[in-house]
Amino acid sequence: MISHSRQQGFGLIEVVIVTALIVTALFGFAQTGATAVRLLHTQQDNLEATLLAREALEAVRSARDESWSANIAWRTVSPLASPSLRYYPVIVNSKWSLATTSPGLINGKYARYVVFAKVCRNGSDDIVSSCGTDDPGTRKVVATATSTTQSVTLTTYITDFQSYLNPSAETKSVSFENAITGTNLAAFPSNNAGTGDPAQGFTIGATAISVSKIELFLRSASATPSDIYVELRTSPTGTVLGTSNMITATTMATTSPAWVEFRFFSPVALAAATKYYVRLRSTPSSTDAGSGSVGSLYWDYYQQSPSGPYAGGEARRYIGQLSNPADAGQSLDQYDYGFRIYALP
Amino acid sequence: MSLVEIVMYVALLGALSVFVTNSLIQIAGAYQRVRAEREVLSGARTLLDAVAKSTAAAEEVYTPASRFNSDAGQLSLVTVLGATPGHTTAYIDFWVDGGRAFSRAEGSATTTLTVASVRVVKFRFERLVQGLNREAVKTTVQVDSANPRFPASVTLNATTALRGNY
Repeated sequence: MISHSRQQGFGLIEVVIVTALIVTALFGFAQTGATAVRLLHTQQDNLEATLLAREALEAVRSARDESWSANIAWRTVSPLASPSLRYYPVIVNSKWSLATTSPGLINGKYARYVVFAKVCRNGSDDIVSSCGTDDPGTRKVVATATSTTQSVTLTTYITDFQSYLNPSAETKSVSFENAITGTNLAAFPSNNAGTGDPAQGFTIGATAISVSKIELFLRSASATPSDIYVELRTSPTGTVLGTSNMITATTMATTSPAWVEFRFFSPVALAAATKYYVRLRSTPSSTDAGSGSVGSLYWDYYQQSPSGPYAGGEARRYIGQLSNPADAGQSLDQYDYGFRIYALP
Repeated sequence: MSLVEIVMYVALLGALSVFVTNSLIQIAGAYQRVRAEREVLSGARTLLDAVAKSTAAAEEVYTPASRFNSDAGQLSLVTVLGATPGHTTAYIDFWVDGGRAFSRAEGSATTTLTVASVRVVKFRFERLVQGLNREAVKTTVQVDSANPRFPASVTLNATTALRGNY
């Protein structure tokens, strides 16, 4: 009887212990899963922040490649080794720029900026933390990407080595720079209505040139206009001699017009004393109704009566409208859009 | 064993069974979620690294076969890597089709860059031109889990300058 009674008691205790063990084990497994998810999120945040900081350094190198004196050299303050203000890498007109005001959080989560510091060298040309001589051809760059949960800082040094390479210099060959009026003259890009493209005629001087880039005086007049590029043509609807890179229109200035740079990856040869056209185009195409193109951009111009201010060509609009590639559009012979044609020596 | 004890044991066993079953389902779900998160993170990183390394080594972008500023973008590069005998350069293409990313080097077979358990929902390229012969490509990759029961998503981006040989 005693043995039977003990067996009954052991059964109850056994149930309680087994239950507790199972609950503990399951709780442990569940916690392991939750911890794994949390660690993965941490890893993801860290990776995103690292890539953003790395991209900031690449943006600085790109700005350096464009011009050391214009983009880098002045961004440090005395005393030596004292870090500069924060600069925010942003894409403007399809190129990296270092802004002084924050563009807001990236992906709604990360703040990103870089600071510059002068670099001191000792008598052996080694970098030292203080004293020594300022090296005007070297800068220390610290990029930071930070969120509420992660902060990543990367440091590098950049140098003005390209000034020793004698890069090819582009020269302004033909231009009209007095455009002062910004209105929706060309209804470009068309708001899905196929109203066509604008263009500006220009005439090459006495010497043939190879065009490497064109700048147009443009301003974005809406939040999300279609992306744009330019074509060099023999006439408004003539042979395409060259097509530029595409500009992400959402990166264009919205408050005031700016010279937007369009590059030709292979220089375009233009004959002397010959008239050509630079035609502004969009993706989706502004010439096709229902293409999905979205306006609008203002190409600043100058109007003068009885003839336009630039003698070498005229402004045009509505080229190729309603999917008619032979439609040369409307000549605006009292108008000229702002443009600059650059050529390689 | 009395009737009360039997009832108590059965009740305990039932409650324990429900708890254990529910817990096991939740644990299995958690591990599936971990797996989905890990696969999208790994997939996005692998894809971005593959594009970035090829871009850094490329000499130029081959414009006719590239599609920029589109979530279903395509990038075609002219590179010295993998050049075939008699040629100094070769082409390598990256594109997305049906939610999977692919690459093909000239003279080679198509390579799938992502696994079937993830979907590439954004494969976007933006061409940046900083100056004469100063070109870069900004790549944005968004990879989602292909299993709607365990949603996971990662967006990564990188800018890579075309430097030609490193």
